[in-house]
Amino acid sequence: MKKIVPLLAIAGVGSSPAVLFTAGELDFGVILEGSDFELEAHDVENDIEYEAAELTVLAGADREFTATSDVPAAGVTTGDSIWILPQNNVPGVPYVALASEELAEIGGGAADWSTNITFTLGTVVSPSGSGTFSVWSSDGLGTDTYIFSSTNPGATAAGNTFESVFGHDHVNWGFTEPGEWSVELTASGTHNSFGPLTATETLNFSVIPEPSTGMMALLSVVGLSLVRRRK
Amino acid sequence: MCVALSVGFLGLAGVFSPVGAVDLILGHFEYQLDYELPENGPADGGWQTSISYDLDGSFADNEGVVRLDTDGVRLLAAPSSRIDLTNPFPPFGLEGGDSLWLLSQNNIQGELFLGWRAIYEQGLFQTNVGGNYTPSPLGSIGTSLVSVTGTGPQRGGEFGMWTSSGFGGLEFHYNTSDGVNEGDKLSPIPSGSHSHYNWGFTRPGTYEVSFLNEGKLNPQFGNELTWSESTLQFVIPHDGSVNGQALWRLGSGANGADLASIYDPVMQVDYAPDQVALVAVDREFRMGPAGNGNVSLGQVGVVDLPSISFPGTGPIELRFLDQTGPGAVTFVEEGAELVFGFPEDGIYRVTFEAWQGDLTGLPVTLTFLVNLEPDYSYAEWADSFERSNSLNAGSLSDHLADYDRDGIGNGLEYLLFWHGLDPTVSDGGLLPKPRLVDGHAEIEFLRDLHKDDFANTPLELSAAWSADLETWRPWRRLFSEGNADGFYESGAERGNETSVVMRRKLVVPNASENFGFFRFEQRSRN
Repeated sequence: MKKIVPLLAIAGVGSSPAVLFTAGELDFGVILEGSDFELEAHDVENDIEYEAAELTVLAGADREFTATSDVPAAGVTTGDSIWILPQNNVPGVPYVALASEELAEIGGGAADWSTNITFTLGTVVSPSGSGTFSVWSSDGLGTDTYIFSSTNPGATAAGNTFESVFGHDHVNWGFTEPGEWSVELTASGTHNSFGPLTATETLNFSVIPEPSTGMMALLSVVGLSLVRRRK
Repeated sequence: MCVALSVGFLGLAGVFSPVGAVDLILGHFEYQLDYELPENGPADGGWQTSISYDLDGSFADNEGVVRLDTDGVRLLAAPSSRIDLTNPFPPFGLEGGDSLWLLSQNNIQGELFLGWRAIYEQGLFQTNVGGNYTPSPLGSIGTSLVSVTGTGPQRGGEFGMWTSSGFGGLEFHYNTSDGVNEGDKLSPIPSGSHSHYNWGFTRPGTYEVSFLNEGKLNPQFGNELTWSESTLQFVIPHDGSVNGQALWRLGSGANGADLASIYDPVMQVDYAPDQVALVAVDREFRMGPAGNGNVSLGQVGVVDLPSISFPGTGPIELRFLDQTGPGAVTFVEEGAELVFGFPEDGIYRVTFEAWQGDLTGLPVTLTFLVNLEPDYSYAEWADSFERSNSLNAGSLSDHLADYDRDGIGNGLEYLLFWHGLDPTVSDGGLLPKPRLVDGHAEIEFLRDLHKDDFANTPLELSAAWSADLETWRPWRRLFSEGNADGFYESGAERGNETSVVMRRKLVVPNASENFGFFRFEQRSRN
């Protein structure tokens, strides 16, 4: 039984989602309650379910890497910075997956569905408006398969869609610039009884630049928020 | 097709318990490290290591986790996990053309998705940084590689565990290619962590991978360095085929011994005749006697090789009893070798008996493939049997039809080929028979993972169980879905190794009915 807990408000960030997720395993996954098909965020280690849009996932300054080659799908050329939330579990870092496994245990499980669950990337808003959001999977030989690319969908394996076979898949999440990102994600599938089901949510990510700049940016956000509150 | 089991069953308690050792070949499982500070006794007694799964199929929470003793679990690499490299893979010194078996850090359908999970109370352990322990409110543990043994390493196989970090970066935590040393360490492993890694193996065989799990308790809990050892058993399957030539061991079958084995001198493995495809080269296959110098590292489907023998010292002779296939097989003796010749492409079965003096063994059947790969398709199988029986082309093309009207659909005859089934002969009697083992109902069968790879092949071999021939309980493939009322499949291999043609068993662990029926089914995979 999962716990639904009151959301923790972050003082001074009134217009932002209320919970900042900074470390540990997080699954963006679909659930089915009755005929309600929902895309939620599950803090695995604390066993807490969130509405996906009510969470901001942090990519800290220590997640900044320098591209050593041109990677069009990730929107980087050699020497560019990219912030990566890894598909591997790195202590102190969000470990984020796409999941549909909970559907397998409801009713008849996967047999209740005539399709797998498809995740589709929608609108991505980057801090500058021109940044690239990407998601990819790295195999055991180090080969990367791109799943989502906000600026180069043609470089992805299946045109910004990902089929989840009632399991959960950890992937790399890439951002080419610091700041606040919103990523629209749609999950869809066809249930034998309920027909086509779709859930769309906006995922929020906060990408932090080098510490000094990051602190200034955070202070700036807090300051603006406070200004708005005083009005 | 039903196989009746008309013997009374004993009921089981309502708690699921696996019957014997369990083979895991696909699905999401964890190597699980638990530590709980003992109220009494040494701190080392607080460790528990297991292979775990989740009853509700979700590793996204802590509920329903079931732990299996690592000693009772074999972790199998599905044949689809084999990668034939096109480029060198330096971490293992592999070149293009070499093979690597990879249990991936990514969730791949039809393969084992083996994670790593640690459950212990935060603040119990100190933090290990660079080999130095410091008290910590969080703490962590670490795991070092102790040894890797088994028939895989005996063949020169290497083991490694690593992560792919994106942009081509690989980070190895364990790699035996430079020996087992201090660098083979996974640390830190935080409390509550759940991670996935790539597990790689470079030769078929068994790998007993032993770990030392350790952590130092915080001062308030005794400031003690505590540890445990654990061993995981991995099995990398052989191809299940031998190209061009092999050696055989022949026996009388006295006292229940195996009648014959087929020895592959390249991999130093012995196969049961009904679990190996002999692939002709230039329409020939050469077979000679195996001697004492032909050391067998592994056995698939056979046990106790020395018992495969005749008691006397006289010559062993062969009497060929039957053959099926698209043409007449020729037999030519060349010294100690027997050369099988094949006039046409296709699938051949040759049945013979060996005898010495007045002692004659039971019939043995060999399977040959001529210009066919072991992963031949349903269409190639149908074509071969059509030509073998002078049927019109297309007579067997419908896998749902039952040409010989024996109650076994054509597709099912293809899937259960290794039981000797022929789609043109009413031969339902060849299907495996169920039995009772300690009150459990079981049926053993040979699963050819070339024909059903659990993920991508067009046909799927399934099964169901019924007590009354009306209500059928479907087989749930994953062992993890087994429960008190479960009906699951696991390994039943004879011998210490396995191959693409696997001996498996269906188990009904809680069969309280007076009698019951197994039914094999074919399904089309979408």
